[in-house]
Amino acid sequence: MPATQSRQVERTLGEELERKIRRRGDAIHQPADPGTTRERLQAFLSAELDEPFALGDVRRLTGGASAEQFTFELERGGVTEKLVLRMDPPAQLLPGNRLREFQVIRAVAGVLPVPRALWVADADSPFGTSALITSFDRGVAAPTGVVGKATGLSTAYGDHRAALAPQYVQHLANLHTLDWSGADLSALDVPAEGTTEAVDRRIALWDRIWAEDAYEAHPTVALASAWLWEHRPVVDHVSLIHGDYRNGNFLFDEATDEITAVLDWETAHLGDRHEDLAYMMLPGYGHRDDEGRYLCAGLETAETIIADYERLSGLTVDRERLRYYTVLNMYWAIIACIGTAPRLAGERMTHNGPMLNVVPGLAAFFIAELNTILREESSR
Amino acid sequence: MMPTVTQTLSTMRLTLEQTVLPALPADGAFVQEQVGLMMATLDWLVDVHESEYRYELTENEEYRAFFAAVGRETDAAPPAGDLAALRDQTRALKRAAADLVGDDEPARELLLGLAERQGRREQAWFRMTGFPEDVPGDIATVLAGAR
Repeated sequence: MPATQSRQVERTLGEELERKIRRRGDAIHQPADPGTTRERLQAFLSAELDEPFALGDVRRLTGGASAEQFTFELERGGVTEKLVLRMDPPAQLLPGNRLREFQVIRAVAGVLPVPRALWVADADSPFGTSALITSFDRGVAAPTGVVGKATGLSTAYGDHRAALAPQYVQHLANLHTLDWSGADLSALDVPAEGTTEAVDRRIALWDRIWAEDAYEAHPTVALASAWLWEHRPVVDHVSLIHGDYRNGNFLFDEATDEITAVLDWETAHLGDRHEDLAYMMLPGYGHRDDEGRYLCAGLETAETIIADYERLSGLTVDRERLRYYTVLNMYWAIIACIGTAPRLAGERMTHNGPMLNVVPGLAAFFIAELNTILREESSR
Repeated sequence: MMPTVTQTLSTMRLTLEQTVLPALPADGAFVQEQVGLMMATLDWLVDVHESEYRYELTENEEYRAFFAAVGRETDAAPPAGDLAALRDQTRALKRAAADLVGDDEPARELLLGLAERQGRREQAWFRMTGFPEDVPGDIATVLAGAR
């Protein structure tokens, strides 16, 4: 066990948490409508573009517990392009901000398929909130005709699975071996390799969110936090971590089975590769195939993912660290679902109250899983 | 009392399904999704709402038993018939229990047992959200088994 620990939260994430507290009781979310959104886009792009342009077909997108999303068409220079606008509600389910998302997408562009990050706006912009504009990428998040959960959790890929699984592992290996040192990641804190700084900041972040958001204490959360602090592993290689790498968070072309875009980068940070791997393998996101094998993220068995990842990345996968980050991932998912989600719905700070009302059910699932691990650990 | 809360919730859910949902614009994917979530939430509320007081009382009794086991006294008996007051008192007990996690190993072991029992109740409470697996039954049955 490391002798010292820091309860410091990443700088820009700490600023987001402070903003969230300031807005409580003051900022009641008013859903954006396509007409108002078009006016705001017009004002924003008028300041950004030096050429004539026209906007069209502004439409609201489904899903998105953390961002209010619209698609729209931008015509300039005789070319019309479909784009995506992602705007922050008064507070987010998951800690992040659009500048972090913007910088990370730009850092990984060309390394794995991602939308083009075109503009980022702060709260002083015409949007009145932090916002990001990206390309709209072709593809689907789930096979056509498959009705899944609105959260995108437990998406199954059917006949596309065998082609998608190796691509998804390859993209994760590419992300974790990326030399990010030359990229503009000024909104992210850089943890020191060979220390526990990266994991310290993750636990401290979620401890703080729990302390500030939860309506009531929970014994599993208290026990998990104590266990996480007591068992922190040293990070041997600092990678860029997606933070929400699972089924439902990428697009693919149904005709070619090509993954066209990895989405939802707002929780990206620098840390330990095992965090993404363990997250992708969390129980509850996958399902069993006809032979009874559990397919992580609806894509592949854990053993195949680990073997392929090690081969493709040249990085080792340590089973103990994988277990540690399974606990950390469940810990933060529980906090988001029964700490932050009820708080944001109760304070009317979200655009998606119905979804935030039901996600505590996911926490109930993870709490049962986490209790099992904590029981095993107490018997060691 | 007529109509009952259960009947009222069921009527609202039926109206959403039969009247509101079909009238939504075909390209209104977001609003369709929101109405679908509201219908699912109403199904879930019908499943659990009659058990809310019993649920809070069970938790209150569990936490009192926990404090007795670790040799600590608790405040006055749970307020009878007042759901809000009962919940406030249970929340204070939960906070105090979580604060004991840094204490000796026996307290932590008892807290884990408490967490496991609470987890089973939560699985049953949230079963209609579609997330929990291996649910031991509906919440009324699970609470009856805890008595």
